This record gives sequence, structure tokens and C-alpha cells, in this order.
Amino acid sequence: MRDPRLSIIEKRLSRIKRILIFLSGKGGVGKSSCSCLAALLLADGKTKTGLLDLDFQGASDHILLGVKPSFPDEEGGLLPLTPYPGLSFMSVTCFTGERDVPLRGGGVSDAIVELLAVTLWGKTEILIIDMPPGCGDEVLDLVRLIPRGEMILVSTPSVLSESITLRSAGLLARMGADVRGVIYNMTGDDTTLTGQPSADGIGALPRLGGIPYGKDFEGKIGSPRQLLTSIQAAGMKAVIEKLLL
Amino acid sequence: MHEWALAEAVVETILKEIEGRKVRSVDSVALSLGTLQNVDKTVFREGLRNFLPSDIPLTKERFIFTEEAAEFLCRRCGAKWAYSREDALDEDDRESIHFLPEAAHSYLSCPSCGSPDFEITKGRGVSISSIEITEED
Repeated sequence: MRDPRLSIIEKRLSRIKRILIFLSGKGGVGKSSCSCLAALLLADGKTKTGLLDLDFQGASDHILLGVKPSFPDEEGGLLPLTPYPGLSFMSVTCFTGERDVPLRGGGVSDAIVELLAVTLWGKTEILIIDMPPGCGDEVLDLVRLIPRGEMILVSTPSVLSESITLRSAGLLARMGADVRGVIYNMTGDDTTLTGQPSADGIGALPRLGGIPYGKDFEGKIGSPRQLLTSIQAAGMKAVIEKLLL
Repeated sequence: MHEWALAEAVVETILKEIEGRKVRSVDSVALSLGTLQNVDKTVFREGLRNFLPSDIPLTKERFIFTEEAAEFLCRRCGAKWAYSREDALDEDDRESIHFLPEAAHSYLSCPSCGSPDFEITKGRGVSISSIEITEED
């Protein structure tokens, strides 16, 4: 038996200039917030942007963007939703809503392959992929399926997150993935959770920038326009500028 | 029309199979269609016809479809069962599984123990059983 979907993935993504994959070894560091902010900022800057939420069991991009999950339109494939002008969005929640999605390894791989094979990204120039925490099936599959993907690690300045981020970077390097650097989330300003990354270890990885923690972020969830006014968006803007240089 | 995306994938696989080879004819392409995804054969065949380049020596009649019934294996209690589209699923649920067969884990559970932790052992979606080619001498 041969899987025909594997033959079409490269073609589906061929028009996309850059594919940025946001990941972290540890959960709770703000991958989804960073992914959504990056996608919104790019779209707001008139770059046709796609956002693919591959965190099947913890999908939350739709909540951040205020999207009520619904079936995508069909026209030769599945057409992503448009939660903001210039932003195309695809998530497992289009098919499962707010239900749980209890997938194991093989199911995870099949679901990733299916979404990559049947989603038509149109004129998307930059695709952002929001990954689940860890370097398990999803990450291993993406390195295999999208070798040109650019890995963006998200960490907090906590020693726990730093340690696991270093391990993730090591794994990605062993697999020959293109690791662009680390975003330090929840750093600076108005919280005791702040800190600075250690100079050795994770500090040796390319630093893409810091995203401050702000207590008012929670109140902006669900409104793309409000999210764009957050101090986190200002931090992410600098990251995006650095990435796109 | 989601079927067209899958049809395009099949045609792309055929093109990759014959790439760089001196092919006289593509004699047959055998496709297995899992009942879980419930692909509309008529639409799927239209898609194959649409994407297949006219200079490929294969006619649409040489696509051979075999339906494979979906089966599951419960990872908790070991029960095996066959998928029935009428198993407590409404039209939207079935449509979800049609788009993404793994969505079955969100809508179905083991009839013996109720666990959603099961494996799709057969009949998930579209796969190619064989591509028969005759090469030039």
C-alpha cells in the first residue's frame, strides 16, 4: 500500500516562501500566543499569512483569534478560514470543535499528513505552524515532511524551560533542521516571572527577542485587533523584523 | 470537492512513479478506498480525470477501486469492531470524519468499554494498492 498524500505535500506548500515552525520542549511557555501574534502582525503588514495549529490535543489558536470552529469551504481541497484580513487559518477544531482529540502517534502522523495534503493555502506567502509542546511525533513528522521549515524555539527565562529548550535544539540539530533561534517569552516588565536567559547554555542559541509579560493580555484574547495593541505584540514585532531580515 | 485534493495526490504519485522511465503505458492503478473517509467515488473519479495529464497513456477506466471496510481495535480492552456510519453519528459528525478520519477519535468510542483510545486498523482513507506499468523495450 502506498500513501498518495505524501506525494502532494511539497506541491501544496511550494508557493509559500517561508514556513516558520513555533515549538518548545516545555508546555505553557506561550507558543500559541507567539504564533498568533506573529501571524496577525504579518497579516496586518500586508503579508499573506497562514496559521496552522497542529496542537491537536491542546488547540487554542482559535480561542486567541476569536474563531468559532466551522467546516472549511471546499474548492479542489479545503480552504482555510479567514479570521483576520490576510490571514488564513486551519485547525483540527474545524472538524472536532471543542471535543477532545485523543490521538496516539500513528493517528497524529495521519492527521498531520491529511491536513498538509488537502489544505489549499492559496497565495499565502508565510506559513506559521503552531506545534504542541515537546519534541514528539508532531515535530519529528514536520522535520520529515517539511525539511525547509524554520524552527523557532519558544522559551521562558526559567531554568526548567531553558534546559528543555536546549535539549530540543540539540535534537533538531541532530536531525539537520534549520533552527533560527529562541524567542524569550514572559520576560521583562510587570511580573515576578521575569528573568534573563543564562549566558551559557541557552544563551548560546541565536536570540530572536524577548516578549514581555503583561497582565492585560488575557482580556485581549479573542480579539485580533486587541491582541495587536498588546505589549506582547510590540515585542513580537521586533522578533518578526529580525526573522525577516 | 475535498475529494479532488486526494485525487490530485494520486495523480502526483503516478507522475512520480513514471518520472525518468520510458513508459509505454500505465496499465492500471488500483486504489483502496476506506469506508471511514467515505470518499464520493463519482467526485473522486472526476478529480482523477481532471488532474491526469492528457499525454499519460492511462484511461480513467483503468483506475480500479476497491472499498475497504473500516475496522477498529480498542487499545484498552482489545475489542475489535467494524465502523458503521450510522453508529450514533449525525451528519455533521460523519462530515468531520470525512474531512479528517482521525476525528473519529473525537466522536466514536469502543462499544465494549467506552474508551476513545482505539486504533484504526483498516479502511481509513485513500491508498494506492498498485501501479502497473509497461516500459518500452
